[in-house]
Amino acid sequence: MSNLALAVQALHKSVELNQQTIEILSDISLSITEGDSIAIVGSSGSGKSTLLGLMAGLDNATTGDITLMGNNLSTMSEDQRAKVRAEHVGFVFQSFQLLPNLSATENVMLPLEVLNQKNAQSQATAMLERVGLSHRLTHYPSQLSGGEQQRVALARAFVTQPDILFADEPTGNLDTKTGNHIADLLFELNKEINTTLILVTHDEHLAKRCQHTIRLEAGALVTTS
Amino acid sequence: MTLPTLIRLALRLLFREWRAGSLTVMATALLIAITSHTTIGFFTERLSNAMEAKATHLLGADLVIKSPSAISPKLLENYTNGNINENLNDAPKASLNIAHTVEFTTVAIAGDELKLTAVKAVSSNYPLKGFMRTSLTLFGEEITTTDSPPTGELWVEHRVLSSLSINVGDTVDIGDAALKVSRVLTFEPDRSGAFYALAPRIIMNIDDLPKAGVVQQGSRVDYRYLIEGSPANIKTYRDWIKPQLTPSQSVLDIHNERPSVSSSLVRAESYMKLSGLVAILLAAVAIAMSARLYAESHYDTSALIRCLGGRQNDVLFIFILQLAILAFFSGVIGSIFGWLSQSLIAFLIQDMLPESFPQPSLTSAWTGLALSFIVLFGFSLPTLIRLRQVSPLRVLRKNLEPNSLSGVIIYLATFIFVSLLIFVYTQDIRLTAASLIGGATIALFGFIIVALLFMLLNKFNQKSPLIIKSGIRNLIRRKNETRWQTLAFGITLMAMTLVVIIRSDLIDTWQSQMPEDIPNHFVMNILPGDVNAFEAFLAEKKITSSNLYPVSRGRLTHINNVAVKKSVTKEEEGNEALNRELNLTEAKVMQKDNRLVQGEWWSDKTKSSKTSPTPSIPKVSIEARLAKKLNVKLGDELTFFIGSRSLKASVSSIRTVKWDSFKPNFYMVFEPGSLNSYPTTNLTSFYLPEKNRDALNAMLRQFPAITLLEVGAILEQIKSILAQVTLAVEIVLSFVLFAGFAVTFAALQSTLSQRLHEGALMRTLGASKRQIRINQWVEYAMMGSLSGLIAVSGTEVVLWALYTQVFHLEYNVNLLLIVLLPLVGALVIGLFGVFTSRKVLDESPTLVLREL
Ligand SMILES: Nc1ncnc2c1ncn2[C@@H]1O[C@H](COP(=O)(O)OP(=O)(O)O)[C@@H](O)[C@H]1O
Ligand SMILES: [Mg+2]
Repeated sequence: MSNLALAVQALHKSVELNQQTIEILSDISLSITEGDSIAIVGSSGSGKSTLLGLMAGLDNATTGDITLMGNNLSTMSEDQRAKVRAEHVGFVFQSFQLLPNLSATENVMLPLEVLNQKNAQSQATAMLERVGLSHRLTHYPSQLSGGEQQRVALARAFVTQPDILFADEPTGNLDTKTGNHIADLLFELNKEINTTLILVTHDEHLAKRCQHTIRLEAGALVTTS
Repeated sequence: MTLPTLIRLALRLLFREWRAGSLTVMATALLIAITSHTTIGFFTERLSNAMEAKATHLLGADLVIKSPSAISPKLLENYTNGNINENLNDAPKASLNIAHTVEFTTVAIAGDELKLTAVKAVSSNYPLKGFMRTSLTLFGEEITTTDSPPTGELWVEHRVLSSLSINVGDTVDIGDAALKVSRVLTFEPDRSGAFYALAPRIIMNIDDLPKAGVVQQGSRVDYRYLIEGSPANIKTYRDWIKPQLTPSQSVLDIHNERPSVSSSLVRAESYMKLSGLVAILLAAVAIAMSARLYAESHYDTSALIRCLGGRQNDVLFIFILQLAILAFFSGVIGSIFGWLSQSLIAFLIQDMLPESFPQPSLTSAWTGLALSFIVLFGFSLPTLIRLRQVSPLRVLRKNLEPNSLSGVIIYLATFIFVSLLIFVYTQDIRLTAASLIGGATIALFGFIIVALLFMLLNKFNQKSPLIIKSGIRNLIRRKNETRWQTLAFGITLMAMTLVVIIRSDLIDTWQSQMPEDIPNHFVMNILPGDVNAFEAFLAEKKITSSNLYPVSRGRLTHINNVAVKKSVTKEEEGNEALNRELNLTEAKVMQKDNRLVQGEWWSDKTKSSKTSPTPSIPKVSIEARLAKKLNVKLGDELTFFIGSRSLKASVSSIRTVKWDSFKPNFYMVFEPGSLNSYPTTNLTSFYLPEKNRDALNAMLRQFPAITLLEVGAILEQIKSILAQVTLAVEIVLSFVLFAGFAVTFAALQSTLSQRLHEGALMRTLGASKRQIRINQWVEYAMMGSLSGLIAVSGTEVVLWALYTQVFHLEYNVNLLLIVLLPLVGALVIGLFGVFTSRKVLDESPTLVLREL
């Protein structure tokens, strides 16, 4: 049996809102093996993004443990978790999240720079060429189409060769055709780099391309396959 | 992240940010603040250096040693340039220039005519500082000169010529020397008590003195040693010589000889500093507003960097570094602008400057740079620090806002910074406290008024015409932001109005102080019998003059029957009012520009009811500063010696005098009739235009006994200084206006993205551009006129307080302001608002909606 990339134990998440406690996630346990690809599906508001954020160490769980590449996130400080993210994690978002003030290359260089890697520029250029944007290296996000922006985001996510990639509705802001291209690219890169993929989507077609599917309903895990 | 990476990232982001224009308002506001600060700093430094230089010119040196006899050469000689005596080791070696003068009174003789004159024998390097003015013929063209009479020659005042009935080129005997009159003297720099000195002046070369043989043991002679050198050397020398002088010798320098910079200049300087402060505070508000916007628009950046593994402090460092770079460049460029604008002022007025205007030091540039950091960090850090707190989860949930620092901390920090700024600027703790309390009160009441106005607006909008209804509804709907904007505009408008009004008052005061026809001549010794003829002469020549004052010359000898010399402190022994004869006058009414500070002026009634059993001694009114120095109180009895008789008077009032009014002014004014039995002559002053100077010839021919003094040269100097200052004040004012505009832009930008979004939605829903534009105009103009109302109420209250409490003047409500400010507010905010919101109409709605 291979190593666990991610293990979630009895995870609860609740927030205070207008003096009421709202339970967003309740008692979630799961484990994901390195190299697997998992789709988290569920209707809007079911808690998918919240779960993703917790697993990636962007937020604190109310109770429960999350172990990411051997690091117990629940015992770590903000900055320690940031270090884990930098070393092991890549992200792709529905709304691209490129820095508008950096060019395509500079955006891709950013995670390499966080890791203090030397040849950031050449690695970034190579990665952009890989996603088919060699002609857009110096363009700024506002000069790129949605599909191109998401390609830059993919390049940024894979350039550090992360152990785990989190993707939250990566095709959600794109039309079907462009979305399919992006999904193809995502899975291709995933295979090349052999990254563990955790993909949040409400698109069943996209979910089917993953090895496993987890379904959330009102913050609870209903099925895994 | 490593330091080089962070720096590179910060620079990259800053560069793009700059290109995109999101730093423009912040940088401009900062630039205005720094330019304003450095301009004022450079200029006031130059001005006070120039004033100091002028004062030394009036003194004729940096330092003067005054002595009744020649002082030991030892005290002087090893200071002189290139004359360092190695044996005198106790004396500090310094190179100073020394000029000698010897003053005495003697009779000048020409043929059969005699005249008592005040002679000054000068060494050939006299004057060390400043200049004399002379002409080659009587009342001919005046020439500025730094020469002095060569041996064998005399320069004399016109009075010498007329009283000796001679002309330029004739010979005059001073003692045993026959010397040729070569020029007419019209101005000499170091003439103390110039207005009232009676004997006319003759200047001769000191080398002719032995030949003349007039200065002998025991004769009353005033030896002066005029010394020039670097400030440090002067100070060393003064400290060294002072303990070695005898009580009858004294050291004079610009600080004790001449009255310091006149009150109008002091007021101008504090006006400039306060307006400069207003400019900086307004700029600070603009910076705080745009920094908030800047911080808010970088939550995403911050969240993303964190999400990719950046630490909290990495994010903070990036933004602090950006601020530091911005502060540095604004500080440097602002200082350069400040230097340029003060050079421009100096260039514009160079014709008015008789001598070189010393260059300022770099002090203001350094303080400008420091101020740049203080203002930028002080007013933007409280909001930018929130970027550190942004949760990385924001990449998934857009609406996650960072926890703000508690409001209390932000307001406290801002409050401390504002107080610090005001204090550094005013150096006055009471003024700082007053402005803080005043500012807070105005803000509080302003906010209450804004809230009330919005309530009223809401209530009456039902009845508004359709076309403006929706614009006003927008204003009210956004009231969380628009109320603050209205208040900010109101206070800005108020600050600008105040600065403009006070500037106008200041300049009006100066102009009324220095009217075109301010007296440039004084006449004394008008004999009582000549008074009518003299007045007729003036009327005939159409010369405007002040009143004629009867004058007796007398010395103050006793205060409450104690000899003055004994009753005053050591420092006051040298007081001129004690050491020379005073002009004593009597008057029925007080001079207009004098002000009573204690006691009462005599009225006609107290005079007529002179039936009291004991014939009381006459009353006298004394000038306030002299009274304070001599410690004279109401009811004290003063004894004067007039000629050979004494006159006792009791002090019935103490009054202030405007010494810089260039009208006859008196330390002592007696009750009418008091001087009846004493010899009096009359004194007046008048204005005579330069081109009519030949009227003076006729005057002297008709009234040979009079003493005529010309003060035009001094007047011109003062006028030129006021002109400089007026211009400087105006330039400072423009900084306040620019800073006000920066605030306006910053405030308008803070709601821009919300407006863009709304505008796009409205257009998607089918609203026409025309409709949106009308709405914008209505909304902004309404906001502007509301802020105009705030500004009116604030301005009126502040002006009322200033006039009634500080200046003790009557205050009239300024009706024009009530109409004008709301209109100006509507227009300015309307224009600026529609201008900044033009994107709402220009950009395609889909683009705007997609960006969000
Ligand atoms: N910090 C929070 N405060 C309040 N409500 C939250 C917070 N985070 C998530 N929620 C709520 O939790 C539910 C799940 O949200 P989310 O995880 O974004 O769902 P999904 O991504 O599946 O659409 C939603 O109803 C959302 O409003
Ligand atoms: Mg979601």
